[in-house]
Amino acid sequence: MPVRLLPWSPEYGTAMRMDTAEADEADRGDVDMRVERDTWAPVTPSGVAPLRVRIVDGVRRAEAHALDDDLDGLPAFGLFASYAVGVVSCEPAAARVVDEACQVVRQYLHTGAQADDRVLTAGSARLDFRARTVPNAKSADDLVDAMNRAMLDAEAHLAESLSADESWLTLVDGPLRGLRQPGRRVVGYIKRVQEWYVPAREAALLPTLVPGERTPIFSIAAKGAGADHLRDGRYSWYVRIAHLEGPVHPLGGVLRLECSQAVGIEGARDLADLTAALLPRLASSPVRDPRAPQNLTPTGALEARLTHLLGDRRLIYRLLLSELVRGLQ
Amino acid sequence: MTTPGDVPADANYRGLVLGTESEASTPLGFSVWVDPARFLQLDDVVTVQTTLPDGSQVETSGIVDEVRTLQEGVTLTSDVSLARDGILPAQHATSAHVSVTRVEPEVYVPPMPGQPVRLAEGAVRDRALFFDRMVERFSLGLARDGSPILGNLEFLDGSKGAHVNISGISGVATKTSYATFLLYTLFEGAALGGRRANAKALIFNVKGEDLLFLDRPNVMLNDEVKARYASLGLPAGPFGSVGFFAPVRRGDLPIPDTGSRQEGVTGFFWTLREFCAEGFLPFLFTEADAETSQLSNVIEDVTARLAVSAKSSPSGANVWIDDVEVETFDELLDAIDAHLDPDSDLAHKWAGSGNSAAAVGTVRAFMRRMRAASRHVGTLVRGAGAANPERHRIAFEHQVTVVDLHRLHDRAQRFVVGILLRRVMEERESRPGTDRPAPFFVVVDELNKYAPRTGRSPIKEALLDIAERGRSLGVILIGAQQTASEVEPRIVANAAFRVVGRLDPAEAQRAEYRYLTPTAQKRAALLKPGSMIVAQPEIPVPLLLEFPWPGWATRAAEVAPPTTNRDGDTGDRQGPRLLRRFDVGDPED
Repeated sequence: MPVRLLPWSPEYGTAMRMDTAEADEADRGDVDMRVERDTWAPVTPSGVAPLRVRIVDGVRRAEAHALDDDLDGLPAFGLFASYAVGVVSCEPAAARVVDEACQVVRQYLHTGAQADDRVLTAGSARLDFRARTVPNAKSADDLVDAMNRAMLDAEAHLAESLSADESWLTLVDGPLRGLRQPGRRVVGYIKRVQEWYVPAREAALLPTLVPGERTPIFSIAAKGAGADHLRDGRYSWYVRIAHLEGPVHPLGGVLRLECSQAVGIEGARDLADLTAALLPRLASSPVRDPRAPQNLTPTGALEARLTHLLGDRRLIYRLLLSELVRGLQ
Repeated sequence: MTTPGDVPADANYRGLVLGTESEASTPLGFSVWVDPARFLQLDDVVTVQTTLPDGSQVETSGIVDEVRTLQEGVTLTSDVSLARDGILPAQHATSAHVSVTRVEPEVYVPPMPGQPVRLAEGAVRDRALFFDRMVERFSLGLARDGSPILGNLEFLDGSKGAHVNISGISGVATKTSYATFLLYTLFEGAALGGRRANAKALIFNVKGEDLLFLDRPNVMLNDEVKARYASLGLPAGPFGSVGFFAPVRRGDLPIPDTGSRQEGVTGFFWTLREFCAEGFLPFLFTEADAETSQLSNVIEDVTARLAVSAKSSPSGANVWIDDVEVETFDELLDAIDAHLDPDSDLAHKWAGSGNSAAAVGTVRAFMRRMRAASRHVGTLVRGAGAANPERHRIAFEHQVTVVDLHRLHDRAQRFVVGILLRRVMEERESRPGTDRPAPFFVVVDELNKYAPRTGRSPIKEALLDIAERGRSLGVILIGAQQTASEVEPRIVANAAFRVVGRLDPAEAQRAEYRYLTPTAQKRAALLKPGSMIVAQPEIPVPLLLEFPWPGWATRAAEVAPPTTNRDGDTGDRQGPRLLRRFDVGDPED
């Protein structure tokens, strides 16, 4: 096969990982490719797919790294972290960022046993960096991971409460592991495919999908102790969300989706058909988003809005400096 | 400082002062984020309070001169379609730009972003538009919300400034209608106080007959129009005191040459004696004629000779030239011809003799123009054989004097206008000086014809004289033209009040209209009949205003029958007629 490009802008990495060893692997015991139908062939959903989707996403930002003395006199790493989670709702002629559901969180994460809260004020605004010890964290990178986890937890929490309204399809960024008791119409969409699950023979179908088509649903058995609703495992399928022009790898516009097996195969089929029809409409264009087409257009707008809500990075850094200087005096 | 939490929701609240990079707040202009539950439109007068560090308050007020709505959250042109489809979240945000008119006290600080902006009402609006500073004021018209827009009388009557200049496309700009409305507010309103009784106006009716019914109520006057006049503190009706003059027809009988109106119109003419003694001759020559100096020498010489002859003539309408009685204008021409002819055997040659004699060509050119003019003017200058000249002289006895020129040839129009303008100034000069004379308004349309940008002519001199000296004599020029760029700049520059109706878009961009804001220049191209933009010295931005339909008839069909008719009767016919009155393309302006 000749050289093909992968779609994302390189600073964002790639939209997929391709473990050759795994790809060569024979049938995996935990994956059942015949759970929906016997033939592994493209499925083209028929019928109307009403646009009524809520997409949950979050952004985070490390404002500053710090080093402090802990109680025992040993150095302790700190991280001034900001993150925001929110939801964008799409209906015909009415896409909007649900401002009342957006929340911004500031934390001072640290590896020590105890630290002070830091409150920055500017005019009538108040940025409250609440101190939080991260257990077992040793390095600054551990703190960044903790920030990511906190954001993902907040996303999951928000998605869970939103999914109680089942008149909406709720799309969650990433796998559904973080949700505890979601509603029945929740789908996780995996922008960056880490694990393909499908054996090489079946995977050959993926490059041939056209926008609007999906693979049949396959099941992934639960492994170990996970979230309660995933006790029975997950259903998953691939959809093509965009046909990319030029020498772009044919897997570039393919996205994996998953839902809980608790919704039943019929419920999963509805969700799979809906996403196959809807997602190509929501896919972003490379001129708009460096992570096109996987980073959906509404998601990109939500991220821009949330980043805006985080505040001006340079201004926060300066406020932080002056606050710390005041502490030294 | 007001924090967003306690933004008051009173009825006049409209939004918050903006402080973005592109819409930063400045002392002379700022932008307002318009609350989605409210709206601001062009010409709204708004105000905002700023608190200084010492706790004192500054009131910044201004006029909305631009409103824009943009979609926030979109970056690409095609995003609007994504937003429409419900895929891309985007929200509308409206901002309004405010041109600051007044800062009170005069501490020029920008209004603070986040401060609530309110619609100005009552005393605040009066301050914003400087109405509170006007000791004596008159109505210029109505703002679009129906509140009056006032002008400072001191800038009109000569105390601090004088003159009005109106520009606009013919037919749509309703220049004459507005000039007449201004006279009505001054003569029928209370602004002039004790001077009102002696205030006068001279109007030339140059197109149609729309000024020949100023003394008749308009049949289409309905309650709505009456209410608009009432909000200006004015009665709705015709002018109280109007005298009409029209040139006499050809023939011996001095019948006024008008169309649909005869009664109440005086036919006017001048006597040969007046023509000679008062030096009317130069007014027969148009601008192009007087340009060659040879010709103007002859004009001056002949004018002087005629004045001498008139002085030595026995009393009466006729003049004697070299002891020969001249009884008609044609005879006068013959006499002049005889005295100019280099081959004549008369002892006195008017065009010099020997080496100083005017060239034959010049004399011939002079006579050719004289004879050409006489075809149109001859009937206006009559000898003793005509009727009693005293009863056919234009007198400024009424408050408004309308001189109908619309059936006269262009040359004769210039002749009449030139003579009357000069007479107005001469009459004023001969009066004992008073501190503040009752104003005499002269309404002249088509200034571009009478006082073009280039060249010299007697009538242009007369107009310039009014523009430059009229202020101290109380002679106020209300001039109008289609295009100010074609008019003598000194006349336009001397006008304290500058008014534009609908302008040609290209014309609106010219330097003569720099006093308009860029938005006002664009809007001038869109103005509807009955709307004007007025700039006056004290208010830093021009104001858009409307003026009510005339309470007087503007054509024979509009004249209300003398019998009092029932209200319901007139109401039925008002709608369509009112619209027709300002119909686009109607050449009644």
